[in-house]
Amino acid sequence: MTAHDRDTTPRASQRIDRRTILRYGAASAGLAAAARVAGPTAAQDATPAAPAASGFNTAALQVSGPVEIEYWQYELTAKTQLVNELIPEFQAANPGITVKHVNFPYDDFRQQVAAAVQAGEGPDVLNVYYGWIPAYVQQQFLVPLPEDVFPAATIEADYFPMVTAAKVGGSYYALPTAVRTLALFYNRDLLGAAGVQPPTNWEETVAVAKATARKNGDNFEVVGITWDIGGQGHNWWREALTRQNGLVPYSEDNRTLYWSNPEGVEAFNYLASFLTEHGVTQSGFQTDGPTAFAAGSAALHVDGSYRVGSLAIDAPDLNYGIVPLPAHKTQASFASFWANTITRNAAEGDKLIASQKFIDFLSSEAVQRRWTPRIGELPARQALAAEPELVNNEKLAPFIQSLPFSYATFLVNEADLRQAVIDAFDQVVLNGLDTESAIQEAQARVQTQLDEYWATFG
Amino acid sequence: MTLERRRWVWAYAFIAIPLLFFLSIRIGPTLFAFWVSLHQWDPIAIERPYVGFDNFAALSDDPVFWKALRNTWIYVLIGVPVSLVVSLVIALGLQRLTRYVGFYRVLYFAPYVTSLVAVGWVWRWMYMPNGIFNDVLGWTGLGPFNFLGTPDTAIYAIIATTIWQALGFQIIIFLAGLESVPPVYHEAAAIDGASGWQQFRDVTLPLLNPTLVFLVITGVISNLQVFTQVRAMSSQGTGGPLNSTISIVLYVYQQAFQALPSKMGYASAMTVVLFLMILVITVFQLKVLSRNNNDY
Repeated sequence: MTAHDRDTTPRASQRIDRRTILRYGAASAGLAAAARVAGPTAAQDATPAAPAASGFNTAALQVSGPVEIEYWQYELTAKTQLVNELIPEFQAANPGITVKHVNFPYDDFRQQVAAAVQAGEGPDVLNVYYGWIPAYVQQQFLVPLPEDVFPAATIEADYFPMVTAAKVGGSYYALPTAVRTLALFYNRDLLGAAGVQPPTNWEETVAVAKATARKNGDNFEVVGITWDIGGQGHNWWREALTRQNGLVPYSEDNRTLYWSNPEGVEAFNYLASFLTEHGVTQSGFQTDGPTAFAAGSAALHVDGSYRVGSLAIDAPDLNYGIVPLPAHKTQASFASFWANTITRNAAEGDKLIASQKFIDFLSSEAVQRRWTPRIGELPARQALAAEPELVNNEKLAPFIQSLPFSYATFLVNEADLRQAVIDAFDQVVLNGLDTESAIQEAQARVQTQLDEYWATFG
Repeated sequence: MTLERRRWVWAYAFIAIPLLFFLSIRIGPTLFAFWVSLHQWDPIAIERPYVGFDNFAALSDDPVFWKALRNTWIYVLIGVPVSLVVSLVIALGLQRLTRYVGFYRVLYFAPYVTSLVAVGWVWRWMYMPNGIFNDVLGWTGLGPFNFLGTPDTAIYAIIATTIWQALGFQIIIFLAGLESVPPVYHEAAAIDGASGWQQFRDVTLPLLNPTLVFLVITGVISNLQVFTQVRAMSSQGTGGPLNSTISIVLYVYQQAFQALPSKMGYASAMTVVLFLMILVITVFQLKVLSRNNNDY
């Protein structure tokens, strides 16, 4: 198990379990009652009776009467269309349950959710960014996925390791349909013109960036690699470069940060050196990294799998390839995902049962298999990653190869953590602060948040 | 009912509807923000405990808030005077034009009716290291400058955009003010031998005072509330680099809507501070700046 396994110490687990039981005791009771209603066979033989596609035990759960649940996710045409097709299939397989699908713009996500919850409304099942789960758990907004239906052992056996980011204090709160990883995009024309191959390690990356960067006087025409700390650069350093350099950036219980260890400082210096030492990139070039790469003005660019889809639309003629992130002492990448959670609106009774069934359905192998080609996100289940259709997809394969060694950061305040890392890089490259002090500043800021977060869990 | 009484009833009936709207859409939420500022207010949390003035106390210890406050005053103290001088100069020029007057007025007014976000992005492209400004500077051998990426220059780059965008509105108001100056005063001053500058200083400017007061007050308020340009133009939209461009309203937005968990109470405390600041300044400006006007 990696440091990203969310299992906390036994004491911590007990604490959260006690709280959880107190909070959701009623929910569990309702669940047990529902299982009894479903009949002795279902209650006793639940494990083997699970349907082939899902691996979870929701088949044993039955709603007592017609029930409607609200499913909320942000507006992304490809996703909303697919879910609109899936809902009738789910309803046909689960008579008595109706799912109301609500969409809203991504930018309004948290405002919409907050406004609805404050008004006593809102979703029963919510599609949420994994990094918001810890805060939502702290706010007692989410209900843990019941262990008897979604056993942690099954989740961890079937899913890629980054799924543990959905686990807080020993309980899983969400399951993803699909995940994303980071990889290195390279411009084939620019690398070809310079006579270099896509890099596989740190040194080669510097060499390729140097060979491809092109200036006209003092102005860059082509940057060797994009400088995009506020985009994916902060993730690249935080989860990939540090780990590649032998650092485990968090303690196993997610309570302590180790960014300022020498390996972290060295990784930070490596990334900063593209700008400060090698002069192969520029801050603000073409406004941001993805724009520069899409315009064919950047040779290398680190980005997520979702960029494949947007490049297909924004730069259909761009001749580019993708390789896994260049490795160092070891290999590592950053992962992120959107996952389906149950909110406290559906904490008990038929709504809880219906919500569990819907989450089980959305994360089933059958749905994941349809998801990847339609959305461009990667399957979250290990079983699907070996499928020829995906392995042979030139654009997706590097991301899929990265799945086993991709890590999702434990985030208690996503926006501020990102800002802390951006500020650290700005302090070094703009203000000339030494790297160690800059990282210590950022680390202290995020550590304070972690301390405050865990303090609320007693 | 007497005729006078009936009139009175009708007058209040007509006033009542906008008053109701104003109370519920403007005054109500403002008072509610005062209430929220006294709580640890997270819309999603089950409890929102009363914390008294803790949020205000925390503000005084928050270096980012002080930075935002300082930046906001830079937006006001540089943005307002410069834009007023530039727009007055252009308005005086436009007033003298006799041909294509409409064309020029449309030209100068166009930025004002353009979306601030669109303006911000276009300027962002012009400011970038390989943008048009640096291309021009490159001919003279200067640069390239990363205008928006350098803490020392970023805020002034944003102020320049704000000024450019606000010019149209101020020019139109100034033109209206200039039109209202009766030509006889200028003729009389000219007969008395006043030079152009003397006429401007002693006739035009004093008579423009109501216009100036209006533009100063609206300019100060809109600069105290600066948000959109900073969000659209600063690196990553976060008021960077290193908080060098962050404004109070942007910080309010970040704390209320981007922080997790949402610090709605803390953000409301900032809006209360901003509200009091605007109130005091506006009352002060009305008293001081309008006083001259009463002499005429």
